[in-house]
Amino acid sequence: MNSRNLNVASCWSGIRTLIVCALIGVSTQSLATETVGYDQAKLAEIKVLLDGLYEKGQIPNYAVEIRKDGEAIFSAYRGNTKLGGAVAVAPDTIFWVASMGKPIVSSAVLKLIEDGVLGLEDPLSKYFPQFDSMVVAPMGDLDVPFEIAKKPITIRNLLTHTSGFTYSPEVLGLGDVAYQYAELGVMSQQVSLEENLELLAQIPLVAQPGDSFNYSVSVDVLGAIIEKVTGQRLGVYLDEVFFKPLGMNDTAFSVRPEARKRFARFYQPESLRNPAPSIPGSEIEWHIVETAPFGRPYDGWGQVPTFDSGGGGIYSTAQDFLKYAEMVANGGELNGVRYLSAETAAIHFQDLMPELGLEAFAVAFGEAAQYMKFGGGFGIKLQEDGSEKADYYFWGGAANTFFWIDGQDGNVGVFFTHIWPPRYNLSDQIEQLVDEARIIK
Amino acid sequence: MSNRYSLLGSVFALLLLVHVQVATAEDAPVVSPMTQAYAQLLDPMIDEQLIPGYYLAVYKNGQQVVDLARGFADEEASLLPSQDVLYFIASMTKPIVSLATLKLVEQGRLNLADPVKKFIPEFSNLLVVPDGDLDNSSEELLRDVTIHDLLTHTSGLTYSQDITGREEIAKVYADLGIFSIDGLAESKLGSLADHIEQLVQLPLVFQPGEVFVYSVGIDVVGRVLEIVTGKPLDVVVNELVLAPLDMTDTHFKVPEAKRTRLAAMYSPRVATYPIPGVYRRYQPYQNLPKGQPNFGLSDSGYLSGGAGLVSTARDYAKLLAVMSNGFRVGQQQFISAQIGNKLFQNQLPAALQGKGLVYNFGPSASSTGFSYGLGIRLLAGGDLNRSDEHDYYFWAGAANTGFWIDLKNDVYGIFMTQHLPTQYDRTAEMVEIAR
Repeated sequence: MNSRNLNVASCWSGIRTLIVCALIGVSTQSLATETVGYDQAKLAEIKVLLDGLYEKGQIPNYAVEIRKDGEAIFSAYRGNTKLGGAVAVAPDTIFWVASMGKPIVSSAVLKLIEDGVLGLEDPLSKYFPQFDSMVVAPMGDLDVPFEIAKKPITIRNLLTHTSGFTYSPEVLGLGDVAYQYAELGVMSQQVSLEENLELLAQIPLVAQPGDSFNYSVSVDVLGAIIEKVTGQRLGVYLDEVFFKPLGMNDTAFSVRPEARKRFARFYQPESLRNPAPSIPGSEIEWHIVETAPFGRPYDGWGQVPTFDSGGGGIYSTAQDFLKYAEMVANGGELNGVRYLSAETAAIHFQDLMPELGLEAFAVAFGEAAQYMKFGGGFGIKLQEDGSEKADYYFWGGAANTFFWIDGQDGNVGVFFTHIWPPRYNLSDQIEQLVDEARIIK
Repeated sequence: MSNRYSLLGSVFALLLLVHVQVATAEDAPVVSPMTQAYAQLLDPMIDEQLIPGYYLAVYKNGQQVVDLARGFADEEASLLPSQDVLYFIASMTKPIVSLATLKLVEQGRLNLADPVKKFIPEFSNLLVVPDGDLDNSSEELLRDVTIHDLLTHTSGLTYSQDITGREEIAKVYADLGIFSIDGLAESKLGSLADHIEQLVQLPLVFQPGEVFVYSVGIDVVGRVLEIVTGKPLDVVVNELVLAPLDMTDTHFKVPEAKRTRLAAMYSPRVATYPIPGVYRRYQPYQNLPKGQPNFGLSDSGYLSGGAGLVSTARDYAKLLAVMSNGFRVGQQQFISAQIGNKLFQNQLPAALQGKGLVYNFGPSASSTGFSYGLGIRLLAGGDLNRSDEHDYYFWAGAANTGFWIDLKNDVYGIFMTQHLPTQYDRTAEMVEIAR
């Protein structure tokens, strides 16, 4: 491991305030200036991996592209937006990137902190007073005595999923409380964002704020805070500060009607109850069938939503999302335009809740997360040698979309397909192949 | 051989190697290459956390050659899979009830050509709505539905949409709860007879003898058996098949004393998992009455000839042994070979060729015929009418259980897990490995 590795942990050793850390700074610029090459034969193994799945009829298509210093070092696109359809998957194919909106919204919050509009330690109740005295049902269990929240929920908590909020059961929600979310339709599109916050404030937290990691609706709440302080709808604000200047023209909370022909359909593995049809003209024996995520058929997706869900509502393309990832990897600047200060960009990669320890993330996500922790809106995959150095920063979406930023040389990558619920979370293998292909000159 | 999962197999190859080696050490002295090959095929389902566990038995020349168990049959109770664990076998009930029917035929108490209306008079008044589409105008029956039609899924009946029904009428079955899976534990409609009473109110989805539509036909057969014998279905099936074959662990209702041997039922866990890697993709099945980890425990279900049985691999092997052995039990003839062999002859209308099952089971079911309770897989380009061109016989249960009979190689096998619905069918690969 070399000194240019983004070392998040050292920034925090013994230092607990963001300001001091920011003053020390993390030189993300050095990432891009390294002399790095890639073994193309090794990178070609990515295509072998994905073609294997595709040719066995297990994924409808794939979009994978890896960029470094503004150049594609690998890209492969295969299949169509619809089985047997005529529109090939390409850099501009639109996917529902779902939870991959979370890092973007987190970036917007960090920008507003940089601008002095928000404070990392601001309580949520400063913007939405209904959250000023919350009740806690530990582990989301409604059968044990409730507690009173000992601390306010802060923006830091919302950024790190340590607010004590949870999700409904199908999004890994915790305990009985998760079922309350489902029954009341918390953060569903039935009602406005403000009305959703009213519902949310009525339900107990599943943990004391700051005490544990619980994957949650926190980023939707951050979206509400952004709307409150900017006076703009979330999508409008994100468009203004990121999407438009970055040229992310197909990234939004809905799919424009004229772009809809590029919007990929959703698939799930076949079952005896729901066998795969035969696709005329296709030489592949498909083992997947079209599906309707959360019971909503394809035509219902991409429509203008009741509210802009920062936690799960974004649509994007490979080429668009790579721009966002490159901007963050490049220390907040891309093509001469600065979006975030280098210090702010580095916060994405910092453990903002170091006192929780390494186990916190694995408790929430299980065995696969044993070498992971969480930063400012990004997951952090650590080297598996116990060094606590970052291998890459990442997040994924519910319909099998992933992106990463490499911790060593700052390459960025996306792997998109539309299998719901996600079945082929292969970004770790893909990123590993990129690591193996790297040649440091 | 179609190996759909070889890629993931290689992705998890390292994990797998560890598995097999550990197994070799634990199961000393010897794990046969065949067992290792099965583990290599099936263990990825555990490693990928698709199912909590499985059990596989394979018999060759009448001897058990594979006895492979992995993971758990009930995680919460720490029950390990084995050939004595009771599993909900769902549609693997159908071959047993079909065989019971053939026994009655042999005894001269029933004819395969008998019209069903002889036993259930309402069958004379059925209408047909082509394609099961309520927008189509209804037709009169062109001929009566027979017992043969029921046994071969060509009666024009269908299944509830929560099973395999795909027509608009199947939605009505689902709405009313007619022969639904969950009704086996908590029947909205009451007893078997009550289900039939609702069923006969609805139109058929095709004319009898026209199309293979996987259906409640065997449930109707179950009612016919009750009417012919004057006994409840569980008693009839026990007398005609289970007791003669010494299948003492096969039940519609699991006796209290055997409850600790009953596997738990699982179903897919839909989680919007945002990190790379493998996560748990099953969870306890949610639709059972509280305190019941599986089917087979409730008193408020209905007796289902199509899907009602709980059994063990050891028991089911006895059934397959009889079928593989000229229908003899020891020195006794269980059923005459002439009648028994109908199980190995295509019983579908010739016009369907090998494509009948595609209607419900998709293109992977082309080159498949059907007898009474058994699917018939053809050799490539084979002719259903020539038994030497039959590759193997098989059927499966909705909870991802399955079996096959490979007569030419004198092999049969039973795979048990409890995942509703079937999502991980490896029958074709399993057949190959034993060859």
